[in-house]
Amino acid sequence: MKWRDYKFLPLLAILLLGGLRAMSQSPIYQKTRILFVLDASGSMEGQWNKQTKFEVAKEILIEVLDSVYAKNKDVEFGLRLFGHQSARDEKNCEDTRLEIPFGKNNLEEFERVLSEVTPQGQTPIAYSLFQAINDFPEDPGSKNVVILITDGLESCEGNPCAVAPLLSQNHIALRPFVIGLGLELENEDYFDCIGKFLNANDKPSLENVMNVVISQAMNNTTAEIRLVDASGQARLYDIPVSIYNQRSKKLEKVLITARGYKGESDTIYLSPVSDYDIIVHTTPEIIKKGVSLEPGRHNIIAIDAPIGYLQINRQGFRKINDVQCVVKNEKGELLSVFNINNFQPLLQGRYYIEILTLPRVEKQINIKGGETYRLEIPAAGRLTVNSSRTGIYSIYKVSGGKIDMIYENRDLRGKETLQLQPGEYLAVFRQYKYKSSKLTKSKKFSIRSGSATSIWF
Amino acid sequence: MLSCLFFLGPLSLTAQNKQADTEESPPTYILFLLDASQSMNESWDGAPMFDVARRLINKTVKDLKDKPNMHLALRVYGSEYHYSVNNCKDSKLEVGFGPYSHILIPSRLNDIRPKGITPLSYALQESASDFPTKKGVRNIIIVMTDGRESCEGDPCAVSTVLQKKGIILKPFVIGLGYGSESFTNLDCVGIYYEAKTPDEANNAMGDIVKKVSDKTTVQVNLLDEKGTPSETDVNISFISNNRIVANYYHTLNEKGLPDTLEIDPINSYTIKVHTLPPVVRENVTFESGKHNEVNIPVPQGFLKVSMPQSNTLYNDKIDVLVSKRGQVYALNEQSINSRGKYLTGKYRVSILTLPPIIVDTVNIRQNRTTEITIPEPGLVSIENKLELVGGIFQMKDNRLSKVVDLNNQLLKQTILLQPGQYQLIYRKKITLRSEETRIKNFAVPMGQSIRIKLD
Repeated sequence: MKWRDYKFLPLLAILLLGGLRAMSQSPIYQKTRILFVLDASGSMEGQWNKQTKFEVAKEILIEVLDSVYAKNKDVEFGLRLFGHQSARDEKNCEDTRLEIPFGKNNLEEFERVLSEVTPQGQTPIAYSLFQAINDFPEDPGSKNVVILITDGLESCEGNPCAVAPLLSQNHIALRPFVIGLGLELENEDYFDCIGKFLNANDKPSLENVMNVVISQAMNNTTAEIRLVDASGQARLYDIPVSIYNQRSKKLEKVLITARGYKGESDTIYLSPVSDYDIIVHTTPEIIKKGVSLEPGRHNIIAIDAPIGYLQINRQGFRKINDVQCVVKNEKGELLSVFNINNFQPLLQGRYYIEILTLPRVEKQINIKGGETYRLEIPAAGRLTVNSSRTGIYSIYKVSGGKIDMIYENRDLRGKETLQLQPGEYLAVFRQYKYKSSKLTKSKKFSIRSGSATSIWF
Repeated sequence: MLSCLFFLGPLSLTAQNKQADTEESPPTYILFLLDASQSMNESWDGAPMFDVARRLINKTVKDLKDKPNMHLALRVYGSEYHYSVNNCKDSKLEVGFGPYSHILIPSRLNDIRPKGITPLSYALQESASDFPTKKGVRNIIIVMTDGRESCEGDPCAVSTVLQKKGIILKPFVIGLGYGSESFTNLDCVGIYYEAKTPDEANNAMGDIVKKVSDKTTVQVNLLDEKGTPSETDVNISFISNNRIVANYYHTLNEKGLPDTLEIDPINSYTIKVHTLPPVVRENVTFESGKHNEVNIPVPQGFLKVSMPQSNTLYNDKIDVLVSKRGQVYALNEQSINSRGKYLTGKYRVSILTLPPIIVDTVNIRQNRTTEITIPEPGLVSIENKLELVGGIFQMKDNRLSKVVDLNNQLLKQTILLQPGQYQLIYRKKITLRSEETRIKNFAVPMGQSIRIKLD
């Protein structure tokens, strides 16, 4: 029977229904079967830092099996290869075989088989995936996972996208994983229709990816951290979130929220055994404690993050070292320090801000989610204080009978230049040499934005 | 222990370099504002009240005419129109300020016959224009009256406005007659003297003359925690009537004593000592013609945040904010490696490094320098092939805490971080899956650069 012949579809339909019913009745699986569909085409002889890609894949597969088998009794691995039986120029597009059927503790078989293989042939991905359907025995109580590891695209004119739905219908519960070995980023879309695509460029990243895939394959509980903005409609992306085991207090996972695959949620994997404390790293942080997951389901953890923005604009010539703004919460705790002329995202709420100009600008502000709070401060003017004698001087902001010191230099020698905000001021000076307070000199002066003022003592 | 550093060597004699408004008394303009209403004809211990007042003014004019820089004038009210006419604008400047006032005032007083009503507020208002408009002069009104305002004015309000505008100093008011203790609407006009008898009126005028003409000095003792007046080198503002009258940078003279200043005793003052935080004394009055001492405790110490073995590269880059404990806003901003002077007590110091270093309880002690030492930061250079989102974090008590966001538009960025262990949490900006977030641990060494290259 040719795989292109879809006459068997009705059969599959029956299987599908049966399979689905089985799935819905028993969401908790007794057994997990993981099938590696491994590329053994000619290009797998390519080098990754003194080893061939195939050798690297083999090493890592063995490591994975070893560690999984050590901790789990209910997992079985199988191995299907493609492109290993015929040379490339033979153009054998049906070059695929289940080399190791599912079984417990078949680690030694994996070692033996993988050592004997010489990668050489074509890359019939679609056909191999199709064949993989029958590698799994009929067993409604088991979770079936396919992990495709390939370093190239389909070379046999097959259409992997057409095959993918068949896999999921055949009670292969999760979308297959696709691990790309050094594939370009554009190919993400290509493999998109087959399954979850993860790319690895070298041995360490392959190890990493493999761990992620295996742990996801083993777990059937998924979650999604959904950060919701002020309007309640839109989601917030690019925000770091850290997740802690509530009992042990240890960090379990960090993630930076992302869009998720086309039309899908941004799924993450967490074990439902523990409860979690979640910190969303906005400014200030949002802490959610005691989050628990329902096993076997996709849990949506929705967290409201009504973010607004603070923008402080200062006209005038922008300097490289710009002025900083300090943000404190209602208790006076320091939350953030940022350069003005930038947007600062803040959660809705009340804050105390201090803009470190001279004199400082102090303001209590209310940030509303979804809105930008704009504060304009005028450009500074330059003040040059000159003195022919060494002495002590200070500058005051004056208004009617109010006088407040804003700056003091206890050792003025010759000249000092300061950037001051526009306003009315008084400078008071006394030289060191003659010890009489009658020698105090005061000078009133004004500062205008962008202008230069000089005073002499 | 660091002792006061600001006594720079031997002190020389205080050869004065005169300032316009301190050594010589400023010119004083005194306007007598005399009640010539009908009631002033009444007998007061044997003579008409107006005569008593007239004789008192003449005597005062004689006493004052030889004093330096003293100018006199006379305004009356209620002298032109009969009280039955009820003229509320019955006020006249009889003798203006000029070189012959001392002759003209007694002469005019002889010719005035009291007959009218008492438009005191109007008269006060009008007297504003009797004074010269120059600055640096003392304008004083001495009111002598025997009764209430008879028109619709509010003399207290008029007086307050004139003082606030700086046209006059606080006026003196002598209330004449046996009912003078009940002139409750007058004691807010200025410094009020009740003169129930002519003798009391004499004494009141004598007191006023002293206040006006005698030199009054003040010595401000800035006390340390032992009560010794050793604190100095701080500016003191004298504020009166909502105007800043003077600023003096406190010194200790060649005898090690606080310097002596001349002050005008007419007003009451608010004294503001510009320490950090400032110390304010309100409603301070001085005894005229005397040497007054004011004791204000301002024990101080120093704070220094230093970065040893660093060059001055960081002096302008790192801000230090010092706040009083329990206050939200900063009291003062300091730079690294400089010393700030503060009143003794507890402060919170926020050093704006990355991450910030916050010391919640810093004790500033008398004459001691409390030093906070911080390590030199390291420079972290992060290079990536594609734009990243994420941030640099630190683990504190098993919890990640964000130190700074990554710039999601740069392929190379450099950040100054305090030495320590950090976690770089990041993923490629275009990635669709948050599972592809990575953590990279790195350590920042003191004063050195490290480079993190990400693929």
